Formats: sequence, C-alpha cells, structure tokens
Amino acid sequence: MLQLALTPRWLLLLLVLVAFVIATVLLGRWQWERTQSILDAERAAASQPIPILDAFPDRQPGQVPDDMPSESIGRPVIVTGQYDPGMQAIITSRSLDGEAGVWVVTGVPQPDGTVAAVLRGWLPDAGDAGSAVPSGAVEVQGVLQPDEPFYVDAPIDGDQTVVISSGRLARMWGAPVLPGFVVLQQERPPVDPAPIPVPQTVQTADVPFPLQNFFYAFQWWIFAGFGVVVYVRWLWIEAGREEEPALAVD
Amino acid sequence: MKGLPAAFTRYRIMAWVTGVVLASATVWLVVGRLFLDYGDAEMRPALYGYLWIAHGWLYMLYLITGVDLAFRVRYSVGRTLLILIAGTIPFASFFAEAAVHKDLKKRELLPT
Repeated sequence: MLQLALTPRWLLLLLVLVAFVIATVLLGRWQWERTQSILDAERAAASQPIPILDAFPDRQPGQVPDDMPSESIGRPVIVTGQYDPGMQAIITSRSLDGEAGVWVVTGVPQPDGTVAAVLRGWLPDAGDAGSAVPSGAVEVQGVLQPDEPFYVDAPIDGDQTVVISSGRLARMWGAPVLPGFVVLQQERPPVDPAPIPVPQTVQTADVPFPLQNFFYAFQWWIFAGFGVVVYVRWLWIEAGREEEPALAVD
Repeated sequence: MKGLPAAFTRYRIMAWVTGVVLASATVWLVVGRLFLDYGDAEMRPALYGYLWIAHGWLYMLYLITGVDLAFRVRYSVGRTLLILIAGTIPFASFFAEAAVHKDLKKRELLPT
C-alpha cells in the first residue's frame, strides 16, 4: 500500500487531497467568521434604540396589539412626547438596594393615540417631590420590558397598585396602553427632582442565530475529513487489486 | 459485486431527495429574488432557510452513498467527482442518477 502511495499518480492525488483539505478548512473558517459577523451585526443593530412604535411593527396605527413581539423584549427604545399628568401610577412595595419604596409609572401619549408607559424610577414614598409629573416635551431613552405577569387580580386603589401591566394601566388611565413598559435609563431634558432609575428586570432577547452559515462551517470541515477517508479507502482498494489481480476481475 | 443493487438504490434515493430539495430551494431563491424582495433577509420565511440547511446535510448523505457506489462499480476519479459534484448543482443529480442507471444497466450489473 505504501509502495502504491509513492507512485507518481498517487503522489499527485495526495497533492490534490492536501489542496482539497486546505481549501475546505479555509472555506469552513470563512463560514464560521460569517456566522460571527452576522451575529455581531445583528447585535449591534439590536442595541441601537428605535422609536417605541417601531417596536410593534405588525400593528395598525392607533391599535394596541395583544402581545409584545418577542424580539422587542429588552429592546432599547426612545419615547418622545409629553408625560400626561392624568396618567401616573404608583406601584407599591418596590424596594431599591434593600430600601422600601414605590415605583412611578407615567404615560406618554403617542401621536397615533396609543400610550407608552414609562417606568420613571423608584422613590422612597409616593409623596416624594420626585413624583411630580414633569411638563413639556421629553425624550426618554430606555429598555422595553414585558408586562409583569403576576398578581393579575390585585386591586387598584386610586393611582396605586402593586403590579405593572398594560391592561391594568389602561383601566386606570382609560387609555389604550401599549403592551409592556419602558424602563427609563435617561431622559432629556433632565428632570430634578426625579425618581431614581431602576435596573431592567428582563434581559435582552438574543438575535436570530445564522444557523445556515453555522452548519455550513461544520459541513466544510466534515468534507475535509471525508476527502481523507476517500483517499485512504481508494488507495486501499487499489493496493488490494494490485496484490491479488485475480480477485479484481468482475 | 454483491450489494451493488442495494448501493445503487441508496444512491438513487439520495440523488432524488437531495435533487428535489435543492431544486425547490433554487426555484424559491429565483422567485424570491425576482419578485419577493428576498435581498432583504427579513423577507425570507424560516422554511426557506431550513430548506438550504436540509440540503447541506442531505448532500453529506448523498456524498456517502455516491462514494460507496463509485467504489463498488470502480469508477475512475474523474467520473466519481462528477457524480459527487452533481449533488450541489441544481437539477444535476437527476441527470447523474440517470447516467449511472444507464451505465449499470448496460454493464448488466443490475438485476433485470
């Protein structure tokens, strides 16, 4: 078998095999890098804030969808407009760094008639000066979070309740509130005194994974191994045929 | 030549399955690019991507059946490569399968 492998014909085939293996390994690496760069590009795009209404793409203007699209959970968004003084809710029993207090949620009506709920932050109690609703145009940058799914039957007491959900806020404010709420990170112009911004509760949903490129990378590498197997098997068959020519007759 | 008819049947099945999946994906690609705005990745439905992924793995099986057959029939290197590459070119595997079928029949390697 070794003798046969050293003949010019088989040395040439070995050269072809080496070239094939190098090519497939490089092609696999190319697909692997493509997988990474697609992911990077998707993640970069997903970390760019988008206008709040764009986070609900499959929606008729003015309509409130039943659910938040899963890819919008954790999405950075920008809410522009004015806080509506008639749309503020105090979410009780919320602590920050171990200190008891409340969350302040205020509605920002959108041009199409729907309302975006903004979790402005935490205050030690509802009567704190920071709970005053800022007037004038604001631009809020924050992260979109899904409705809190617990205590669905909890009572509403005036402007106070214990859980944030768009359905509950819609009942409290008598307005079509978009699903979920925006956790405020920054607002312009700055408000003082203001509630202390709170951390987001639900992390960013990941971007779609480029499965096709990922598999192609592995398939190229499998090809490389396949080439080696074919070469060896072929050599083995040919060597056997030369040693026992009588058996090779069909 | 024991097992050759079975090896040919395996190759034949993979040639057709791989060929049909690749042909559908290709037709879909052409229609999508021309009429459905598939240049934009968001316009492509999930099934379209799955079809290409399926072809990738089916082609692996096609290669195995093709090489197995080529070894059994003792095809030359060039001919073997043509048969194997046919699995990546739209519609080519149908012709490769037909050519192999004709060749095996001519050489009376298949039971009649």
